[in-house]
Amino acid sequence: MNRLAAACLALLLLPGLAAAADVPVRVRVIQGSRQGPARLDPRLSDLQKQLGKLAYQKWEQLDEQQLNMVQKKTQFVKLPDGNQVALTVQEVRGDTVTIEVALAQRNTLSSVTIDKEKRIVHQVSGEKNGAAYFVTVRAWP
Amino acid sequence: MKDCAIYRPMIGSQPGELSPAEAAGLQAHLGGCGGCRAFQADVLATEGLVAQALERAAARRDFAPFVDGVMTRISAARRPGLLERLTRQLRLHPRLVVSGALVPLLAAALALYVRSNSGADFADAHTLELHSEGSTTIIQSSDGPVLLLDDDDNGES
Repeated sequence: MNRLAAACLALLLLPGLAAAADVPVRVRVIQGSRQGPARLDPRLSDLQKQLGKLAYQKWEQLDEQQLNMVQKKTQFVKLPDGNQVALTVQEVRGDTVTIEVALAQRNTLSSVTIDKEKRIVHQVSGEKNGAAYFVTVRAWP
Repeated sequence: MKDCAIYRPMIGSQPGELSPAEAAGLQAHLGGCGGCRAFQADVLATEGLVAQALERAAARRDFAPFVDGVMTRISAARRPGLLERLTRQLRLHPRLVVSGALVPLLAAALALYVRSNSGADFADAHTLELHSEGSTTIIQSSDGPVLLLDDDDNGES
């Protein structure tokens, strides 16, 4: 009887515990530029299909971070221009995750739900001198 | 003869039907009237035969179906309602009733919990919610969405 009760309790609690676990997130800060020769940083080769849809022809990776994110807890990524990007894992369900990208300097809040194989490429600055900053976010890299 | 007309109707009366004076008069008359005594004998014989015949007829009659029919009608008329039956069962077997009620409730709660935690609702894994003062362009690709900020007056400087 006690074993049955323990099994039922574990059945009820395990999904909640799993949902509360950390979510490893790979965050990269990249820069796209319209000037200069077309070039894709080799470290960004996995993003080629997504970046190839944009007008920028030169792509460089400026920073990379591996974050262990806790749901509902915001972490900040600093940009080369001094601004910050606020990232929050809002929800995890199975192989999908909802990530919130907030840009205080642009008064912008994006909540994007993607699955395990997908990544977000989010412009995080306006274009200046033909270049703009982007962040790419991928959970469970 | 005049007395016979008075007392003969009293012959065959059941105990208590006649007043003491009538009963005494009847007994006195029967003592002196042979015709009325013969009539009384006929009446008593007839009553005995009828009583015996009724008893035999009643003994032959099977009342079991009648009783069953009555009980069936009573049961049908007094069939307790669901609430009454539940109350009675709760009173007689409280643990059993409570346990029985908890099983479907727990099953429903578990199903709801599992459903709310499953990823089935995220079949469309490109759900986007955007809040922005400016406008945002979203490019959907097989590798995930690309969100582009349109330049505006508050653009990066």
